Amino acid sequence: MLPDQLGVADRSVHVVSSFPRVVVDLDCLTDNATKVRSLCQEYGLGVVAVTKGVTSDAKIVQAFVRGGIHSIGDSRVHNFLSLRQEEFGVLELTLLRQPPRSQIHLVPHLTDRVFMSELSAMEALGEVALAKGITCDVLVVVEMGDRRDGVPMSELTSFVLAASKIAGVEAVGLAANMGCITGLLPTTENQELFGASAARVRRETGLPLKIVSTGGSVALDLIEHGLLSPSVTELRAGEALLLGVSTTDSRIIPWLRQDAFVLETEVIEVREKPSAPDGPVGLDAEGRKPHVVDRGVRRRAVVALGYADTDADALIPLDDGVTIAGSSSDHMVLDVTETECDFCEGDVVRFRMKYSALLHSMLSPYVAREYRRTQNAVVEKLTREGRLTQTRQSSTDNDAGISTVPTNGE
Amino acid sequence: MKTLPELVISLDALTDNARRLKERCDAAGIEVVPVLKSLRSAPEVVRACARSGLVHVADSRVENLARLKTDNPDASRCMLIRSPMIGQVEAAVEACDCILVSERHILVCLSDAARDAHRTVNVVPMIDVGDRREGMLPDQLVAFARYAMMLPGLHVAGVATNLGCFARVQATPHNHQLLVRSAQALRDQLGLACETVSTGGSLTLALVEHGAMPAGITQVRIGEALVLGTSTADGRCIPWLRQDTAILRAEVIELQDKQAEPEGLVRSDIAGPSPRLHVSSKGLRRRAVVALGRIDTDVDGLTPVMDGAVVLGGSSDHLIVDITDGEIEVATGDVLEFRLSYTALARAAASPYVHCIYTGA
Repeated sequence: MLPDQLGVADRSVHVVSSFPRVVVDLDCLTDNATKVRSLCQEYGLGVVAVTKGVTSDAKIVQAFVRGGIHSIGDSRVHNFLSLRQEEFGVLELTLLRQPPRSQIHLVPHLTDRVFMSELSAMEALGEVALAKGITCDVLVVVEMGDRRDGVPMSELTSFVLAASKIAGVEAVGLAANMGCITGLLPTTENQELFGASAARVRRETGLPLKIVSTGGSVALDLIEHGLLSPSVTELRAGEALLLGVSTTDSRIIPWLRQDAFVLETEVIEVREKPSAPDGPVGLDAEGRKPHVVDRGVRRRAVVALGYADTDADALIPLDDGVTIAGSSSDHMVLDVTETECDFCEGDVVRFRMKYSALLHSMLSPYVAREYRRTQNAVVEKLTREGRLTQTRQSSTDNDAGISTVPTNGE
Repeated sequence: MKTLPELVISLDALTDNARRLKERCDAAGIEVVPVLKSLRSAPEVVRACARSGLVHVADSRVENLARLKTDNPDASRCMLIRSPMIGQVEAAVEACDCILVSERHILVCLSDAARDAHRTVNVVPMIDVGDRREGMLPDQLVAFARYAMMLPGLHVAGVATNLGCFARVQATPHNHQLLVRSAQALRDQLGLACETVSTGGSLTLALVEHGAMPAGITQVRIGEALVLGTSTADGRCIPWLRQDTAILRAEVIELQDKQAEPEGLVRSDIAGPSPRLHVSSKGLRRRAVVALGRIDTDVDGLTPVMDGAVVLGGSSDHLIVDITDGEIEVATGDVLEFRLSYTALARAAASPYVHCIYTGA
């Protein structure tokens, strides 16, 4: 009955081909979750896995849960629907964007905590919560100079006081966000400022405000160096957990894995062609001349992938020597002249994705998803080889990896 | 129950555009094929085109055409304008009357699938007349067509090209003559009837309007001009078509009076065209935060319907609109409306978070 009420847009597709597809290694994600969680635990920080970049895909959420993260954040309330099933156990779900009025009635059902920055919206939420006989936990979003959403620091105390008087909602903490719209970076200074204002608001309002939540994978850098303000109690991370990188400060996080996601598609044409266009060239959507370099005749592969599938500008070909010559909504042209392997029509090409490519390919109705578990593959291989069913081998090799050969064949 | 954001498509406007396109092109003896991939070939839209007398539907995605055929087998004749992938050939043969192709391996796969389905499939080789995306060079066409003719289950119906999509090469009489000459080569050397000589991209309409389309072109494939009344590739708003076809509506979730400039350390080299916030003015501005973002659409392709309002930028879930100079007072909970670029339209129509609503007809 809930799905009907929601009127969630129809996602059903007649899948007739498995390309393009996103291949997800779930065990990589579990690894990343374990590592981020244990680092944060060292500093007494809770972790919220931000899964809006992958439409809070149930299998991916489960992979994070296996890594010990039970707190999930998304900006779209509809994505929580499938996570409120029993098999997930107790998940803490945080809605990371103030809900539009048209969706507010769903919020108390589906979420544990909500980001808010408008008193009138909180009143509306309070009413809905009261009608259901519950109280909604709210985190007040603080604007730290990123100029997106949030309450300016100067108005924080009066805002929190006013919020505390609204029935049906409880302000349990503060949340800050960085690096999302202007590329503003978290620094020791602004985190310190955030922590200090949390302490000040606590003092001035007399409210406990237990949660002080900071966000963006960028903040991990501060944590690693022990520079995060001690008043901060929680980190929200998406990109770092999913891709092992942080775009805002252009960092590959060396202790996380970057190989959880691969985008695969099919080569539909291979041809030697001049790289320069023939004829008068027009302007692109931004009024610029398209950037086409004349490199003479090149070997080019057209692959079935375009802006309708993903953010084609945020892909990195995995094969050495392959470069992206350009893309339109349904086609991408690769220059394969320099590559070692002999590209052929019908072949599969693979790409690493940046965050925006991941986000768009997970949203596209044309992109399939395939899940793998590397650790399971090891177990499966061992099972297939009959090495897990043999009757008690010597107790010394109970931790054997695949490289260990059984001592005798029996 | 209403859930925002919603994409409102005016079927009246679409029907009008389809009819006007048909009238214009009929006069030049050219068939219009509506390219509906941006709206995922939704049945409502297909019917609107059919009402205006357009008999084909073109899409680049087999899954869209397959769904159309499953839901309504008597629907328009389907044309697949991107080569299918190997795993899609059965579905493509099932759903499509005409398929654009450029590689031999797909010809063989299609031939096998056509034979299994006891059908004949029309294939149309793609040539590249300069835009440097897909398609063979014109001198390879005859050999390719000869190969296709040897395969059972296939009928080589003509030749096609596409312009303005990759290198933005413009439509000229010259590159269209190349297409006409290629068709003539098929007729002369292989005895084919070559009934389809097809060009594509809304920018080709300029040639039709000016009577500059060479004789022998039988078909234009038109997407953007039909669904939006514009043509990005040659920077045109087409005066004789309607632009009020689509509106994206989303809710204001926050209002704020804030300084225009960000405060603090800013990185300008993050992914995408950044920084994502256009700092267009100075001082204190009134800004609306709208529940709409890159997840829902291409925020760079949005224009507020309200005079004086300016989109400053957006992130994955938020859009910031400067409404200081807007003509109407805005409150939180209000709905703001936006016109869309072709990319923004396609993205919104494909987003699982955006509700598509059809009005009129």
